[in-house]
Amino acid sequence: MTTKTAAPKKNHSAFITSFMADVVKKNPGEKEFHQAVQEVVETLAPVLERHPEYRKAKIMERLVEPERVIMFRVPWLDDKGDVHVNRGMRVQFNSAIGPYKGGLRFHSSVYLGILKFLGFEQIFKNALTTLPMGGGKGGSDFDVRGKSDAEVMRFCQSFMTELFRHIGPDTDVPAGDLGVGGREIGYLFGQYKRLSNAFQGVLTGKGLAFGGSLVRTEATGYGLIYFAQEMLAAKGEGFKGKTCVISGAGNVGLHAIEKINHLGGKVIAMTDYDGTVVDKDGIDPEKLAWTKELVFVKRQMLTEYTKKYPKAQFLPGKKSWSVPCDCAFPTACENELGAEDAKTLLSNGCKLVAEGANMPCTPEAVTAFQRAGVPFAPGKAANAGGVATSGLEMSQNSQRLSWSREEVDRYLQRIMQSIHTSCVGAAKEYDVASDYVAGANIAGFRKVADAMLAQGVV
Amino acid sequence: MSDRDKPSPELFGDEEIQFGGFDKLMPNRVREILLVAAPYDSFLLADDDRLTELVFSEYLDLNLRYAPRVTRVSTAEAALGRLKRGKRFDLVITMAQVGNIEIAAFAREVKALSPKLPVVLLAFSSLEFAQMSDEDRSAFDHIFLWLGDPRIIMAMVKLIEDRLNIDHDIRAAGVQAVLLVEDSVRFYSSYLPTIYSEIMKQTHLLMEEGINLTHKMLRMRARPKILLASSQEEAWSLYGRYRANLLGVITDVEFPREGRLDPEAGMALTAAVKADISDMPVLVQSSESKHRVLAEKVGASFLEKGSPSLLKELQGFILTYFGFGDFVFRLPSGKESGRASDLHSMIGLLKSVPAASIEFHASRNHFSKWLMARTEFELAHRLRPRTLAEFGDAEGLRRYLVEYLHQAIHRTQQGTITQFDSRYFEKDTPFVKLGSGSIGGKGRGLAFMNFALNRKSVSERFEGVRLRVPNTTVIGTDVFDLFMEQNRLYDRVKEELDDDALSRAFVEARLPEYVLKDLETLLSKVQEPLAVRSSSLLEDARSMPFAGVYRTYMIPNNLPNAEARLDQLGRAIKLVYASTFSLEARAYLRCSARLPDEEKMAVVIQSVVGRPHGGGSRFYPDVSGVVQSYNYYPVPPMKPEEGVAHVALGLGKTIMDGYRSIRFSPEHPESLHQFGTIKDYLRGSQQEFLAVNTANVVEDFGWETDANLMRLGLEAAELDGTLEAVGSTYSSEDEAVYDGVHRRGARLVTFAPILKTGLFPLPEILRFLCELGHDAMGSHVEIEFAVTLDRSMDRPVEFNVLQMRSMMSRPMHERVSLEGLEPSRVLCESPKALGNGRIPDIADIVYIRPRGFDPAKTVEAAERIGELNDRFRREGRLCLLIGPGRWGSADRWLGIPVKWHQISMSRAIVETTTEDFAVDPSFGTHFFHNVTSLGIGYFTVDPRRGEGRIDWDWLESLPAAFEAGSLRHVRLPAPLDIRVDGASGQGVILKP
Repeated sequence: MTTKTAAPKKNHSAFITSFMADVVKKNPGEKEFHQAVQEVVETLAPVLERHPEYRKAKIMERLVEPERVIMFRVPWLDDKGDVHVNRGMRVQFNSAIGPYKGGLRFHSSVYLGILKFLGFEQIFKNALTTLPMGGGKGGSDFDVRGKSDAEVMRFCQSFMTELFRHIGPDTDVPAGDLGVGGREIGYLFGQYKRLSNAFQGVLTGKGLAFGGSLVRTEATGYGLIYFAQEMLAAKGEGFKGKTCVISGAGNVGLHAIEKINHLGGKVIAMTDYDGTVVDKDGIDPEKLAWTKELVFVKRQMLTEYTKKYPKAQFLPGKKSWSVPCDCAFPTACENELGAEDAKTLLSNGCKLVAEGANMPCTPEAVTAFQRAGVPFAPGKAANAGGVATSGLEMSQNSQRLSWSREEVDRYLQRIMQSIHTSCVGAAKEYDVASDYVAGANIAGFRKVADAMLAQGVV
Repeated sequence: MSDRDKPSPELFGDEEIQFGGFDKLMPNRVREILLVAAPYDSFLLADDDRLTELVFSEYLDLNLRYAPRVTRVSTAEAALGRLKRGKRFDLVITMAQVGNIEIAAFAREVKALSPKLPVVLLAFSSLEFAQMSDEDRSAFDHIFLWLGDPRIIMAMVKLIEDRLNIDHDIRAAGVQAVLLVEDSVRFYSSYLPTIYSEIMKQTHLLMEEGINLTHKMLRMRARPKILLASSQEEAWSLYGRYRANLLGVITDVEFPREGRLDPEAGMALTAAVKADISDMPVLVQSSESKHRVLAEKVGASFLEKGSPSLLKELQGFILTYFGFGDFVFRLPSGKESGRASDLHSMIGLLKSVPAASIEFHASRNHFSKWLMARTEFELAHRLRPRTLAEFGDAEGLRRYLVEYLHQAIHRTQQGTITQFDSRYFEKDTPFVKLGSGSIGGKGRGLAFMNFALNRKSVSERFEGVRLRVPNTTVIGTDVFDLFMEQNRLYDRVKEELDDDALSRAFVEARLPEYVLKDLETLLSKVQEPLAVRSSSLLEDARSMPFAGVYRTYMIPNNLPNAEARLDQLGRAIKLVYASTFSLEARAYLRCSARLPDEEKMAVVIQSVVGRPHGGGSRFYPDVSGVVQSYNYYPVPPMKPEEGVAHVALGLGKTIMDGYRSIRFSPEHPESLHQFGTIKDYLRGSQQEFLAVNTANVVEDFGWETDANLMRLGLEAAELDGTLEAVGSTYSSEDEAVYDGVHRRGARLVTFAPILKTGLFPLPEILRFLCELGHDAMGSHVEIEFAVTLDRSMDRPVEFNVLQMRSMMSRPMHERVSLEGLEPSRVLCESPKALGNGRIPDIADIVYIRPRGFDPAKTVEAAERIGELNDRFRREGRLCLLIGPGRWGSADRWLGIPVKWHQISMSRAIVETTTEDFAVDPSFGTHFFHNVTSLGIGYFTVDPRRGEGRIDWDWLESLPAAFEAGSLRHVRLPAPLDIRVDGASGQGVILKP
C-alpha cells in the first residue's frame, strides 16, 4: 500500500513488531497472510495512533482472527469411477458490516494461507464500496483444468453438500474467483437449492436466467469513469471537452471508453500488446462498437484499427502515455505506468489519473502524481465497480427483482459517488486532503472498525 | 585397369567350356529368409517397387529355382517360435522394433538356437544402433541402415552369399571380387546396393543376344563378389587372401586399426596395396578434401564423402575401372562422343550427342542390340523395325527415343498400386501411380492406409461414417529424375540458389510431355481444389520425417481455361520439386547427415477434402487434425500410450504450422486440459481458420504456399454453417462458456458438439486408427486427417486419412543418471524432456530473457537467431536455445517463429513460459515432430506449474558474445553437460 500518511513513529514500530510476531506465531507457514497483515497494519498505524479506543478494543487483533474457518473433505468420482479427495475451505473473516462476502477459488495452489490473505483484503475492499458486505473467501485445491463438465459438476455438488450448511443469503454469500466461473456457480447454486429447498441469492455471479445481474461485464469500466467524474466534479469540472488516453483494450478499457463518450469526453488513444492506436478525432461510439467486435468477438489485435480507420495512427510497441491528454486511465496490467511515463504525462499537462487495474502504476509514478498535485485514484477505490455489482446482485435477489440495465447502472454510479465521498472525507479528516490513496485505505478500515466497536466484543 | 583384370566377352566365347564350370558355382544360397518386421515395415519394404519384382528381380528373371522365400513374422517371439519348431532358415533379417525383447538379446537367442544362421539388423535410424555396446553389435553378422532404397535387401543377401561362397568359387572358376573397406553403417548401406546393382548390370552385359535362360542363370553366378571389411586388419587379411582375384579396392580413410580409430588407416592401406600391385584400382573416400592430393599421389582415385553427387561419382569409378560394358556413342568417324551405362544415362546422352551419332547407331541397330543385351527384350523388339525415315530426320528420332525409353521403363514396372492409364482414369479411381520409381514416404503411408481402410470390416466399422483415403495420384520419383535431367537442373541446384531464385528456375523448367498429357486427363476428370504434396524418399521414413520441410500447395483448380489449370498444377508440382533443394531442406539434411544424393521427390496429388462455401468462394473441411498414438505430455489421468489429438476447423495447416487448436486425449475427450478458466478459452482457442480461396485465384503463385489460401474469422464459419459442429459461445454476462452457437455472445471453437455431445464418434475413430497404425508399424504413429460433415443431405460423415507416419521412439540403449547432481551446477531442469542420452560439445547458449521479452518482436528475434546460426555453422559450433513459448510456431504471437535453417546448429532446445507469456508447448506441429525425430534434446520448463526451472541469474552473469534486445548469446569456456533420461522423460543441463 502506498500512502502519504506520516511515517510511523517509534512506538508504532514497537507495536507493529510485537503485533506481527504474534500474527506469525499464531499463523505459521501462511506467508501471504503475514504480508497482507503487515501492509495493512503499517499503513494504518497513524489511524490507530489517533484512535486509542481501537487499540483498547483490540480491533486489529480481532480483525486478523477469522470469525470462523470451515475446512472439509470433498470426495468425488471421476468419469471412470475412481475416487478423488480434495480439501474444501471457507474463511468467514469478518461480518461486522454485513454477511461474509468473497469469492471461491478452485486452483491447485489453494491452501489456508492464501484464502486468509485474500479474505483479509476482501474485508476492506467490500467496506470501501459502502455496501453492507463483510469479508470472506473460500475454495479448494481442485483444478478445473482437464476435467470434464460432469467431473466439475460432481465436484461442485460434493463441495456444496458440506458448504451449504454454513452459508445463506444473510450469512455468507460466496462469489466466483479463479477457476470458478459461470459454469461452476451454476452447479454450486443448483446443489444449494436442492439441499436447502430454497431459491435464495446465496451466490453471486449467477447466470442471468437464475438471478444474475446485468452490467456485470461493464461495471468495472463504468465505475472507473464514474469515480473519475467525481474527482473532476470535486474540482468543479466535468468530462466535457476532456481528452483521455487509456491503456488496455479489454473489458475495463473499452467500457471505460464507452462511458467517457457518454459523458462528453473524447478518448484519443488506446493500447494493447502490439502498441497504441492514436485517433485524434476520438474513438466515437461507432468506432468503439467496431473495436468491441474486433476484440470481444474476433479476438484480434488493435493493429486492425488503422486498416478500418486510416486517419488514425498506430504506434507499434509504444504505450499511450506519450500522447498529450487531460486524463489517463491505466487499465492493462501491473506496473505498466512507471516514473518516466508519469513524467511525460505530467509534462504534457495531464490533470487526472485513475487506475482501472490492480496496481498498474509503480509507487514512483504514484508519488510523482501526488507531488505534482494531480488527483490520483488508486485501483482499490476506482476499480470497485466489479465488487459493487456483486452487492447489487444480492440486493436484487433479496428484493426478488431483476433490475434493468439502467437501474443497475444508476446504482453503480451512486456507489462510486459514495466511495468517492468516503475517500475524500477520510482524507480530509486525516489532513491528507486530495490524497485518494490514503483516503481509500482509511475509509475502508474505519467503517469496519467502527462497526466492530459498536457491536461490542464479539 | 590392366587387361589381366578386365572381364571381356571373348572370355566367354566358348560357351561349352565356360558353362562347364559355372553350374557348380555358388553352392551356398540364401533360400529361406526369416524377416522379422511389423506389418507396416514389411509393407514399406514391399510396396514401393514391389519387393519381389525389383529387389529379387535377379532371381525371378533368371533363377526361378532359387528365388528365396521370405517368411515374415511380426515379433521376435514369433521368430524364435519358428526356429524352435525346427524350421530351417538361411538368413534372419530383423528390424529394431520387434516386440518387447531387446534386439541384441534376440540376436543372441537366435545364435544360441542356430549358431551358423546369419542375423542382420536393418535399422530405420542410426539411433537404433549408435548407442549399442560393441558386445551388442557383435551379436549381428551385419548391421544395415534403411535409407529408402529397397535394393538393400538384395545387398544383404548377396553379401551373406558372397562370404559363404567366395573360397569355393575362386577355386572353381576364379571369380573376381571387390574389396570394400568401410566402417560406417550408413555409408556402406548406401554403397552396397549401388555396387551390387552395377555388378548385376555388368553381368548382364556379358550375355549375348539369344542366350537361353539357363545360360544366363549360370553366368549370373560368375559375377564378381564383394568383400566387406571394417578394420585395417580385416581388410589386409582379405586383401592378402584374394589379391589375385581382386578387381579393385574401395576404401574409407578413417577406420579402426589395432583396435583404435585411425584417421589415416585408409591411406596406409592404399599405399600398401599400390606398393604390392601398382595398377590395382583403388578408390579412396574421405570427407576431407586434403586426402585427394595424397590419394592421387599414389595413383588412387578420390571421392569426397560430402559431395552431393557422391553416389554418381562412385558409379563412374566402377564403370571406368571395373570394366562395365557401356553403350559407346560414336561419330561416323569413330570418335567417341559419350558412354551410356544404363537406360537412364542412355536417355540423358540421347538428348545431347550429335545427331550424326544417333543416325550412325540407329542405322546399324545398335540401340536394339544394346537393349537386348540388357535383357530389355520387349523394348528391343519394338524398336528394331522402326526406321529413320519414319521420323523425318535424326532430331525426330532423338525425341522419339527419349520419350519411348522413358515410358518404357515405367511400363515395365508395376507396383501394387494401379498404374495411371489415361484410358481408364476416372474421378473415383482410388490410388494411381503416374510414372515409375518410388512413391515416396508420404505415398507409402497413404498406400498402406488405402489398403487397410478398404477392407470391409474397417470401412464400415463406424455407423454413419466412411473411413477412406482421398483419391490419390502419385507421380513417381523417376519423373523427378527425368525432369531434373531434361532441364539440367542439377547444375542449377549446385549453385546453392536462394529459395526465390530456385523456385523461379524450377517453374521455368518443363515437365516431361507424357506427364503433362496424363495430368491433362486427370484434370479433365477432377474439378475440385487439389492438394499437391511432397512425398520424398526420405520423407516420413522412420525417425527422419522431414515433416513440413518440403512443400504442399493447395490450388483451387477452378479456372475456366483448361490450359491455365494445367499450368497451375504443373507449377505446383515443380515448386514441390524445388523444395527438395530449399534452404530449409538443405539445412535439415545437414542436420540428419544424409547424403543429398539419396533424396528424390515423388509428388502426391489429392482432391482437397472439404466442401465449397460462401457461394463457391471458399473450400475447406469441417474438421481437420492430427492424432498421435503416443502422448509425450500426458497430464493425469491421461497416460502416454493413450495418445493425443489436435483438431481445428478448416484446413489442417493451421495445426501443423502451430496456430491455436484443440488438444484432447481420445480416451478422455471431454477433458480439455488447455482450458481451465474462461480466459484460457478466450486466449487459447482457435480464432481464425484456413480455406482454399476459390474466388480470387492466384495463377502465378511462387515459393510461398499460402497464395491460394485464405484466413477467415469464425463469423464466416457461422455463416457457412460449419461452426455449428465445433462451436461454443462465451457469455460475458454469465461469465460462462455454453456449448453450441445458439446464444448471443462471442463464438469459440471448442469442439464441444463433437467431443461432448457425440455428433460423430471422432474419439473412437481416432483410437481405432491409432491402434491400427501402431499394430501395422510396430511403433507409435502420427496420423493426419480431415473430415466433412454434410449433415444437410443426411450423408455419411467422410473421415479422410491424409497421412500416416511413424513417431520417433525413444531409444533406451543408454541410461543416463540424473541422481545426486549438485543443485548449484544445474542450469536447467525439466520434468518433461524428450530425447535420450548425453548431448556433448555445446558451449554456446542463445537465449531470450524472460524479463523484457516483447512478444511483438518475435520475428526479429527469429532473424537474429538465424544470423547466429549461420555463424555457428561457419565455425562448426553447436548451440543450446532457450526461449519462451512455441519454438517454430508460424504464429508469431505464440513463440519465436524460427524456420529449420535458422536453428540447424541447435542440438538442444528449451521451451519455457514466463508469468506474462504462457503458451502450451509445440506438441503436434511439424516443427516439434522434426525436432524430436532428429533426437534433438527438447526441454519444457513451466515454472508457473512448478515444472522445472532455469538459472537465469547465472546466464545473466555471463558476458554476452552478442546481445540485441532481449536476445543474448553467451559462449562458455567449456561445454555444457546435457542429459536426458528417455525412460523417465526428465532432463537436466549442467553448467560446465
